[in-house]
Formats: sequence, structure tokens, C-alpha cells
Amino acid sequence: MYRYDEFDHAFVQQRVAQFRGQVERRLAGELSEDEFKPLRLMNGLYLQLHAYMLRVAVPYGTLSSKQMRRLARIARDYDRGYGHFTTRQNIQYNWPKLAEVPDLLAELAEVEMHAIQTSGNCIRNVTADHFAGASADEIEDPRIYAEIIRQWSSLHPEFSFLPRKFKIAVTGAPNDRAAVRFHDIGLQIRRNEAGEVGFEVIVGGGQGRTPVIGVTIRKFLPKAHLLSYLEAILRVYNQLGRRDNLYKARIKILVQQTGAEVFTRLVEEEWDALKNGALTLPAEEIERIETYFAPPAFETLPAVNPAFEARRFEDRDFARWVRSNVSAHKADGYAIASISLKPEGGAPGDATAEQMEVVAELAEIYSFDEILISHEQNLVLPHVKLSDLPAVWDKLVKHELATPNIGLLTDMIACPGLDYCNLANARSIPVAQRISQRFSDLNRQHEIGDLKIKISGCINACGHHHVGHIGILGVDKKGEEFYQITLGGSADENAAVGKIVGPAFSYDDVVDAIDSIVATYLDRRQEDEKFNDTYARIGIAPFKEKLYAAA
Amino acid sequence: MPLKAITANRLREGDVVYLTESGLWSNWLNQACASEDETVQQDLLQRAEADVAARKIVAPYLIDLIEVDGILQPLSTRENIRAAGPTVRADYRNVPLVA
Repeated sequence: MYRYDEFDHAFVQQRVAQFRGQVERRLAGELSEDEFKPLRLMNGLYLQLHAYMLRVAVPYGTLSSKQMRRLARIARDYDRGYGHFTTRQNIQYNWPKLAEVPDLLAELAEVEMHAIQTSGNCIRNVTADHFAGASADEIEDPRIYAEIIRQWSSLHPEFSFLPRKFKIAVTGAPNDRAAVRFHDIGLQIRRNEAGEVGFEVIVGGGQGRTPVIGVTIRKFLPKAHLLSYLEAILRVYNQLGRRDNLYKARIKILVQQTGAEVFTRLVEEEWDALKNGALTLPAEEIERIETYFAPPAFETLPAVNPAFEARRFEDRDFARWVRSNVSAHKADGYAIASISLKPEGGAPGDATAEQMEVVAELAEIYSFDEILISHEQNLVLPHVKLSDLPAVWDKLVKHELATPNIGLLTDMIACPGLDYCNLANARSIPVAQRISQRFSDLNRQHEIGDLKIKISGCINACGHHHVGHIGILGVDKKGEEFYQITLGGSADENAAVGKIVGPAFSYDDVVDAIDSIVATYLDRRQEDEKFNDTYARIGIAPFKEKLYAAA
Repeated sequence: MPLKAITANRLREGDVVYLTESGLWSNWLNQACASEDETVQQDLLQRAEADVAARKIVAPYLIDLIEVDGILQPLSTRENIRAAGPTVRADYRNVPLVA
């Protein structure tokens, strides 16, 4: 795992001290709210519906046990005993007090964490595949490059006031778990024909009110040029991106308006001037960062573990959890264990301080001290021995962390919605809760199979509804909550934006509507056909017919 | 004019508050000073702005209410949730939702 160097420590400590001074001056009346607001936002502190909200960056979603324990302590000491893991692999605290935030930030700095660039029109926390370093389909660990990008983009003076926020995601595997086609820049690690490793560069993806699938502007970028090429893209955007209209300020609109070809040419021209300059990455520097992400000392183990197999055979609950929550690891005898933060009736992504501590302990004992956060709002123990899986599961069960639903219907993404968020038009979490209660039968969920439902409480699409196989968007109709449903979206390598199925449903009716869509799917699917394949084959009409037949 | 009161967040803590008749800020909506008179409402807003300057609260605004059996209730879902806390878990709530 990456450890801060002197420069990292210095800038984070400096920022804590700065913000402490700013809060003191605000409380003393030397700064007005108008003057203070941009300063607090630069440190991830929002004023939400009920209280302040602090968004803490978790670089590429990776935490040590020590960091997770500190997040738990902060939840307990500065908040109401829980935190919320987000789709950008961050954690949000919903109830911190302004006067205490400087102390909270000092506690984060002690474990090499901060809340810088988690808000505002700058380059946000870089996200990565949540199976990074563990999955067998990975060409290279994407976090090496996410870390290099973090260092380059942190406090980058030229890119502190972009037209709008800017999100970058990196994946090292052909199976895209990082939604790289829905980011301002998506980087997919690829091997070229000569066998060299570099990046496919995807630009202009995004969700929000204008969902767009990113376009590839370079099929292969050699590693050495990563930063100069990113800088070229950011420069073109910084110069030409619109600043007159908030809704047209993202890079996706610029790429659409100039056209992908012209945009690519502009980037390449800018790059010509930057290429082979100071931003060129020396091989030694890449190696230096790579050593931080070197694989842990895996033991040489057989691919099959008899004790694990026996437990799986004897214990149906354990077997079911393994089926949905355990994924193949690159090392024989190891597995990736996903911890669901979507218990029946729970708020997706929420974890209590106690749960965070349990996960920290499990990671320390069984997973080389490493925890990953997925953009689907779950936690991951990346390196667990097959022989340890029963012990891990036993502990998870005791703390309501063993819901066997990863990738299934109730593994929903939901934004905070109108229960917490100032921008929301409708609630998201209670809709997710009610769906999880309706589909609480785990056997039925496993029978339905992979199905992604994603819920947003407003058009900003923090709940990724555009890319849900079933997407739910909360809207306000004359003061009442209504929910528009879309079908056929996908965030992975088969990127697609969902299509609206018809008129919106009321808060009371939306769960029945989901039930109806699932029933149509089950009725019409052929053998093991996935939801989106059935949808592609039969179209939207059969879903529509059943949904609106009663009306 | 519809019945209105002033809400805001406390600067230091961030919690949701309502302006009372005595000019204090209360966490309880039912203690809010509510009025149908536009002049009174504007006067309340001015008092709130003075408290912004005095660094007691931030972001004050008027909300629409109805009074049912002596209990003040917000008209919008948003303000109901602000008054009572998130609807997602009973133990997160500030006060029980008015039926």
C-alpha cells in the first residue's frame, strides 16, 4: 500500500492548519458565509439538509486496517456512530459539527487521509477497480497509475478552477468494474500488439442530466506519457469548456459539441507541445510507485482446500454466500471476499463504527491488512485464504455483514436522496429498503440472478440510475415523490444508458412496478439469459404492457 | 398568505433550527413563530438575517406550514424530513414524525 512521503505529509498537515484558522475566523466573524463557503467546500465540507456533511477521500478505494479503525473512531466521536460509503469509493459523515471539523481532519491526517478535492471544480479522488491487485483478469494493478495521477492532480494549480468537477477512473482488467466509460476520463490498461502495456484513453463519459458514454480518443498510450497526455486533455477542457452554463460545463458536452475527432486533434496538438517534457514518467518512478502495490507474500497453496469444500458442502448458508460474495483470486488457494453493505431493510453503503472495526480486524488477520471499497457501495477483503473463508464468514454473520447478495437484485446503489441531500427531489434509501424487503427471499434472489438496480433521488444521478439494468429516478411532481423507471442500462464494458419505460410511479407504487418488471423478465428469459440480454431480445414493449396494463 | 415560519442551520453545529417568537433558535418546529401576515414574515426574515450577521445561524429561509390541532407541520416532504430527521431508520430520527 502507498505510504505518504514528506511532501504528502506536509501538504495535508498544512491544509489542516489552514482550515483550522479559517474555521476560527468564520466563528469569530472575520469571514462571512459567502467568503467561507468556497473554503469549506475545498475541504469536502458541505451544508446538507440536516447538518454539515464531510466527504473524506479514500484514494482508489483502498484502506488499511488502521485507517478503517480511524474512520470508525471518527464516526463514533464526531458523528452519530455510522458513515456512508459512496459510489466514488469515498466515505461521508452526515453529522459533523463545524467547530469540531478541524480536529476531525487532524485525526485523518494522522492516518494519511484528508478531504481535499472531494468537492469543487477540480480533479476529484481517482477511482479504480475494487478487485485491484487481486483479480485474475488484471493486466496490471490500476492503483499504481491512480496513485501517480493522485500525486500529479493534488493541488495542481492550473486545474484548481476547472469549468466543472472532473472525475477519473482506472481499470487494469478487461472486465470493467470501475465504469471507465462513464467518467470524464476513463483509463483502461491494455496490451498493444507488441506486448507493451499502456492505456486506452476514454474521454467525455458521464451521467447526470445528460448521460453520455465516453469515446476512445487514443487506443494505446505508452505509460511514460500518461501525465503529459492527461495534462493535454485537461488543458483543452480548461480553455474550451463552458463556464457560462452549469449544465453544459462538463467535458462530455465539450466533446459532443466539438465532435470527438476535432477534440482528439486539439488534445494531440496540445500534447505535441507537452510530450517528452517534464511530465514524462521515468521507468524508475513507475517502479518506485509499483513497489508500494507489490502483491503481498502469498503462500504457495493448492487451488483446492478440503476444509473449505467440506464447509461449503455441509453448510447451505455458507455455500450461498460463497456463490454470490466470493470471487476468483489470481493466487491459488486465495479468494476475494465481498462484504455486502446492503442488508435487508438497510441503507445501501451505511456502516456502523462497530462494523468498520470488525472489517478492520478481519482485514488485519486474514487479508494482509487491506480493504477495498467498491463503487457499488460494498467493502472487499481482497486476499483471503480459502481455508480462512469459514472463519471470516462466521464473524461477518455476527455483525450483519454477511448478506449473500453481491451482484443480485438487492445489491442496489442508492444515493442519499431526500433523506440527507439538499439537491434531492425524492427519497432513494427508503425505496431501496422497501425493494430489499419485497425481495428478501434469498433463494428467489439467487434464482433471479445478476440484476443491477440503481436509484437516484434527482437528475444529478449520483445513484447511477442511467446505468442500472433497472434504473429508478426520483422526481418531484407538484410536491409529491414520483419515480421514473429506465431499463437496459449498463456500466461495464457493455456500456449502455437505460431507456425510460413510461410514466413515473408514485412512492407507494414503485416497488410493485419493480416486481412487475422482474416478473416479465422471469417469464420471458431463456435459460440463463441475463436481464439486459432478455431486454435486448424482446424490447421494451412486453415490460410496458405488464406495467401499465392495470392502469 | 399561507402560514410561514423561518428555518435555518446553526452555524457552529449545523443542526436544523426554527426562529421562535422570543428570537431564539429552537430545534423544535412546533416552537417556531409562524405567521400568515406577510409583514410579520418579512420582519422574521430580517431578524434571521441579523442573526446570520451575528454568526448564530446560516442559510435562513421561509417555509410553508399548516397547523393541525395546534401542531405545526411543514407542507413539503423536504421540510418534513428536515424537521424530523432521515426517514431511513427510526434511531436516526430527531423527533417522531407527526402522523
